[in-house]
Amino acid sequence: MSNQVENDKKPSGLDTFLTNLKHLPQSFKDAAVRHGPPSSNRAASQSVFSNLFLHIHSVRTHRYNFKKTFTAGLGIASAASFIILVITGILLMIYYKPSLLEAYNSIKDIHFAVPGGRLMRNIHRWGAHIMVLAVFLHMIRVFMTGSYRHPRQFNWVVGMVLFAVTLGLSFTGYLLPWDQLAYWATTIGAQIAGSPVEVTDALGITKILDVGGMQMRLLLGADVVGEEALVRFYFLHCILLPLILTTFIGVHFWRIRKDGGMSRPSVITEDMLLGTPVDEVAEMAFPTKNKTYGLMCLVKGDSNNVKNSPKQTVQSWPNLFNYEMAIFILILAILIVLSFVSDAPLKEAANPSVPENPAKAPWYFLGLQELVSYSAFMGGVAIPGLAVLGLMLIPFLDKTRNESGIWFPDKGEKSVFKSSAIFSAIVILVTLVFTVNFGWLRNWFPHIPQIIIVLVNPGTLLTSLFVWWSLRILNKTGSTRLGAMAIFTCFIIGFVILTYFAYQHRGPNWNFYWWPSLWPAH
Amino acid sequence: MKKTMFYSSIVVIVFLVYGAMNEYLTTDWRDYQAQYAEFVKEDGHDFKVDYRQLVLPHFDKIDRCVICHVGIADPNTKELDNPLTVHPGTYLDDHDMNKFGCTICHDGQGRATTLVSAMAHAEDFHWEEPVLVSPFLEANCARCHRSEMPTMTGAYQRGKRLFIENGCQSCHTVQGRGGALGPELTTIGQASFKAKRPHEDNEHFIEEFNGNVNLAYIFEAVYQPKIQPDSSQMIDYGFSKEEAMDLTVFLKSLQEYSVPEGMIAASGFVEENGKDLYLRYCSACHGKTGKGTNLAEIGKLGPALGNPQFLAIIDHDFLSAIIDGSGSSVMPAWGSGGGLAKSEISKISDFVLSLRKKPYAYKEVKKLKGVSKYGNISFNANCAGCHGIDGEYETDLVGPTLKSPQLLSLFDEQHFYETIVEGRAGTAMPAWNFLSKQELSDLLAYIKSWRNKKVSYNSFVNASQNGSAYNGKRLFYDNCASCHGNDKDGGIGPSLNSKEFLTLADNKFLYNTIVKGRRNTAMASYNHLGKKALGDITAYLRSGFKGSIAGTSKKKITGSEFNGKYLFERTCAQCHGQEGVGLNGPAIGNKDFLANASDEYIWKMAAYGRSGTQMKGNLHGQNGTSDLSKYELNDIVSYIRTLEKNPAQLTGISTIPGDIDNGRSAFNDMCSQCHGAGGGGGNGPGIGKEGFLKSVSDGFIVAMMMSGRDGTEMKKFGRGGIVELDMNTAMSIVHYLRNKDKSEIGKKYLVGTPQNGKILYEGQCIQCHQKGSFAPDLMRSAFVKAAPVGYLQATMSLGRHQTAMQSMIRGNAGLTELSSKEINDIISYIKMGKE
Amino acid sequence: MEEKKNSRRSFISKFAPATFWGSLAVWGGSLLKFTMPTLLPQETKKIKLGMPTDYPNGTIKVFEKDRVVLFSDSEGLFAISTICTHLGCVTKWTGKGFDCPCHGSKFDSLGEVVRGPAPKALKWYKIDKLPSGQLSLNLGESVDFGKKEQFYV
Repeated sequence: MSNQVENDKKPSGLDTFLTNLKHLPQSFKDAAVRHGPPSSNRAASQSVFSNLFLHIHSVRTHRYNFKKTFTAGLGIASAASFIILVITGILLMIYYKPSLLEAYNSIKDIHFAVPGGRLMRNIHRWGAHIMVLAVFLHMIRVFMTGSYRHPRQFNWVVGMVLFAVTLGLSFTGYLLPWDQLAYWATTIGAQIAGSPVEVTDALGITKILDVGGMQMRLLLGADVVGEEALVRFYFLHCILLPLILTTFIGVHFWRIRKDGGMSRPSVITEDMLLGTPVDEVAEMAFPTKNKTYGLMCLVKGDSNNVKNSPKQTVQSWPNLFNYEMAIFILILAILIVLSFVSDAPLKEAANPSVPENPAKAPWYFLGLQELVSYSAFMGGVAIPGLAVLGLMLIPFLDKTRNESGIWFPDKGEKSVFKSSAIFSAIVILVTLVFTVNFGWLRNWFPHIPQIIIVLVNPGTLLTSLFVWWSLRILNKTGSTRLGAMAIFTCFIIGFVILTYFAYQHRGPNWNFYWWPSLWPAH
Repeated sequence: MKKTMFYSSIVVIVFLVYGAMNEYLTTDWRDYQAQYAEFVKEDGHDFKVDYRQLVLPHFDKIDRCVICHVGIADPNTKELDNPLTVHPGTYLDDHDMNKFGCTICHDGQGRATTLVSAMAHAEDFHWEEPVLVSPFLEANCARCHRSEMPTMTGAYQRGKRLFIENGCQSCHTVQGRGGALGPELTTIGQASFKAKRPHEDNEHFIEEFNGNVNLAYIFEAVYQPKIQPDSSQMIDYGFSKEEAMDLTVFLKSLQEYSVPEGMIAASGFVEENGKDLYLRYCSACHGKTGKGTNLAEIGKLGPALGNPQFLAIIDHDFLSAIIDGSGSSVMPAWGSGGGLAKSEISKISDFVLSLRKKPYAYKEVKKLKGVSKYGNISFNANCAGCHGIDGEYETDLVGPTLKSPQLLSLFDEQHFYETIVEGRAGTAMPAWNFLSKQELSDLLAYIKSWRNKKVSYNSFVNASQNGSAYNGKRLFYDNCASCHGNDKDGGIGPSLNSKEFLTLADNKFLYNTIVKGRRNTAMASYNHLGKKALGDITAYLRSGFKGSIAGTSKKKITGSEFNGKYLFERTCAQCHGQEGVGLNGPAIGNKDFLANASDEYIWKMAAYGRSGTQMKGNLHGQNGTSDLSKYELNDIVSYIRTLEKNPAQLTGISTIPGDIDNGRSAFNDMCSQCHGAGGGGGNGPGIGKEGFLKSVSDGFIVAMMMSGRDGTEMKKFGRGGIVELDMNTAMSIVHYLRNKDKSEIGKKYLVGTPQNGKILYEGQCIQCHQKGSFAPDLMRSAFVKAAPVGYLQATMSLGRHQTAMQSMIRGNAGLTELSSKEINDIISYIKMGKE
Repeated sequence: MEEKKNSRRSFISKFAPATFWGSLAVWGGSLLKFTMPTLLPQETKKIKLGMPTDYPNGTIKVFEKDRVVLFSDSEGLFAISTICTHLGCVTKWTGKGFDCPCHGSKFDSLGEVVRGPAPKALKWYKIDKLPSGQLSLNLGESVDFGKKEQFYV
């Protein structure tokens, strides 16, 4: 090079400039993307860890992670629906006006006069449902495969936070269209927030310490759902909760890496890896257990890759990314198809003097609403609070370090799962049939104090039965894992049955009906 | 994996492209606009297919109807089909489309861009205001045209009339006005279909009304009101389908629609007459006409106001007080709760009182020949409860004794008749307008029979020729001196010893004056004294008169009535009052006077005066008050003569001058013990009340005061009475009674024993009148406060025909036989502690 | 058979990423289109002018609030917007022409640029005749420069 320069003597400044100009695209690309095309494994690896957006993935991914029957892609599906929700949500903010007068009208405008607006809103609405569903199923998968176990206890807790925030996001978004559905579902939600007043009333300390009222006012900015509530919900839905969710998603992903990647069993035979991508080069290149590429850092976990051979791994680029792209586009396709099939509901404009009857919460809260119909505090605050707390504490109460990463890893789990499912289903059905036919304490003793209803109602009865059942399992088997499995199963089954029941069989005045078509006209 | 990716991607692309095509190629409005573009291209205009809307910030609306109706304001599009055709009629000329938009009149979902969503005809569109069609479209005119609707809104106007005439607001409140029995209707036209919808069995109405639940509900509510389980009190008026439609149009217009101030046309408050107010607010419960004996009307919720007995005893103030707030659980307080103004309540009262049967004219009754015997029976059946059997005095009577010679002599038959048929408002005397002509005629005949046999002219002349002036003086002192002075020198009445008078007053004149009396003045008919006594008095009158009794000729004096009127008003009226109603001087406009006095009598009195009185001669050279020529006197006389055809109305007006403060203190000193403060009534009649005052003349009051009423507690206050009132005081008292402020009239006080009344009430009344029973609750303080004692006395004494309320007074063969005192005891118990 | 299947699989494998990015592009397009407003929330402004006889030859009427000046000359009626075509400032009718206070543009009495940075003449608005015979100034529609309307009474 230097010779040439000398030979040519002074290249004119203009030439240099023109040359630079000619190379501009290439040099800009080199500066922005510091690695070449992923033509080789090495280049692909480099691409992964030198790219901000890709480096949350490890360079190589264990083939077990691709096993469809293991993860079912639920975590990625949750993240994908969140990304879609963020994109559509941001765009909807262009047209949405968070004011009492305009909120409803702006939704109508989005529906009628904005190009693709109807589709956008439908995708957002369906995305919310799909995300809640995916997060919920993801949680079940993680529990059933024992993946919360050491060293992933904390990530389980983070997951619970994500679950709660997801529900919160969905709930706050419910109010924004300011239609009848929104108004009354939110009113009920706010009343649940205010339901500790039941307990403080019973204790006679409401005047001194009105926890329920404080919570409600914090949520609504007033005593009733109005413009203040709308602005607060808008802020929660568009700023605070997404911020929290994004942060915790980051933590969640980061912890996956730091806790040693996805959980997997200690011994993985080739049979278990059927249908997963294969890296033939790696198979040949690393016959031994020795790992040859550089140690990036020390990470915790038994399934640490440091000691193991990369034999059962494949390059993340392109295998993992294809997997992720596929799930993303699958979710998008599902959402778009659903959006064409069914419009997001938009009822009459909110009318505080005409209650919706029945005023039903979004489906994932319907199980709670059923419990709330017995006691607002127990159904709306205490039982779900205990359930979430209990779920969070599972990894710290069940410290067994058996296998994880496979379904029902411990002995007897499957049978405990089955018996618990049957037990809880029977108990719930009996309770529901009983209450629908015979009512509850208030129907028999009209002047019974509220505190007794708060303490003794179908919700607390079921909860106690579940606790009793799991303690019994715990005692009988001596395994904390099986005890946890029992109570987890009971709650999941309870959630599903109650949700179904409230969705399908509760009509106006929260009365029992076989089908919605049997509801009276008003 | 790749497969999932591939197929999903294809799905995404296909659906998005399909969606885009849907939006850009197959929307209806693009087709319509393309058609329109084609249409205007023929005229060389360009038209761009694009989204279109009307922005109406003052209504907080955006109407996108014009996205399809692009030619709505283009008169050239007449022959095009609907979405493109021009708006029919000239509405858009007055209603600038860019200012008013579409949905303000038509309803519908203005923001929608597809036909079905814009129509929003079924609930699935979640839009509360689906597009309206004729005639329901008329309802929306009322959003801006508030009090005065355009004339083309026929169905609306008919509906409104039905709404008023069937008294819907008796139970339903509209904008703060109306009853509370039924649900409020102020915003019924905007009722949410979640809250108000037709009964399950009437779901087909929704289809018939084009999916408009609100209209279907309203229609059902008026057409089949009983079908809704929670509207059991709603009356089924049996409207025809057409009527129900009209009413639906009107009811649909009841909305609270916010329209900017400047766009409201005719928002003024329309004043309604008493009849419409009654129909609107009262008729649902009290019957449309409230009239008479229609049994069907009585079955309604409230008492039939047309009941003649009720109308007979009710008065305006009491009725207004009851309307204002009766305190009953069913009847709303129309003043505070029903939103009616005092003036409106007063109009309603006037209307209700106008339902009173018009009494027969006196002349009509007089034509019939009354039979005194039947009159006696009728009197004992109807009147004796208060006025005593056969009109005889008893110690405890609600009403005054009628068989008093002074009363009979002062009050002529016509006034008896008028008092009977009109009653005395505010007292216990009802209006007996529901009696038949014959019954009234019989009654009058019976009352007439109480009078002494008439003294004939001949016997009067005989008696006066042979009369003893000595006896006459004593009689004069007893009967006449109160007014005419101890020495015939005048007082309230004119001096009788002037030679001018005695010269002119021949036997005929004196006979007519003394025996027949001068009705409506203080000069009573004295035929009850008998011919002997009258002869003596006449002899006494003429004693000391030395001249000859010339009398007067019947010759008619002619002159200019017009000029006479002018002169009369300037000179005579100062004492005789305008039109001769009388002030300090006698009421020469009196009919009886004019009938009695000849032209010459009047002319001479006016020309030469009457010595010893204020009346001076007015003829030129007489040094009188005025200086008139003969011809001018002729004019005056001819004017006075015209008054005969149209005699001065003396009853009910204040003619006697006086000092109101003196009158008040004298009244309080001497009269109020019996007649109550301000004449509100007590043991004695309520002479301060309008009902009494309007039926008598000042002369009547003076005469009653001066002569007393024999056989009653009313003593004589004239010469020789318990107190001898001087002329000025007497006149002041009358003046006071006439001119006092209404607020000075006290409540009728009542002497009764509440303890005794309680026992009687619990024995006789409580069976029906206890709270919650069918009869009204009498212990409601609002009612008790408003109900005058007279009303209660009359109701108890008379009972009320066609209701369960029977007469309770002795002798009326009613439910029980109470004495007047016992009735007063009961009333004092009811009123105890509530006033 | 096997080969066919394989070839199909390889076809899908080859094109899957392309369809993926393609579908994202289509979706992205729809997102972009979403952000473009179709309807502007502006009132359709029409000023009622009254009868043509109210505007005899030589009339100049300034509608300050609506930013328009109405002229009547022998060739007819025309309305010129006072909004500067440079950067949207409001110009002032001087009696002879329009002066823009922001960057010194000057327009003559017909709205043609005579000085300053303004790129083109001022906008002319459309004047309609309503069926009732009244005139109406339509601020939502402009006409070609110099198009004067004759309204015969």
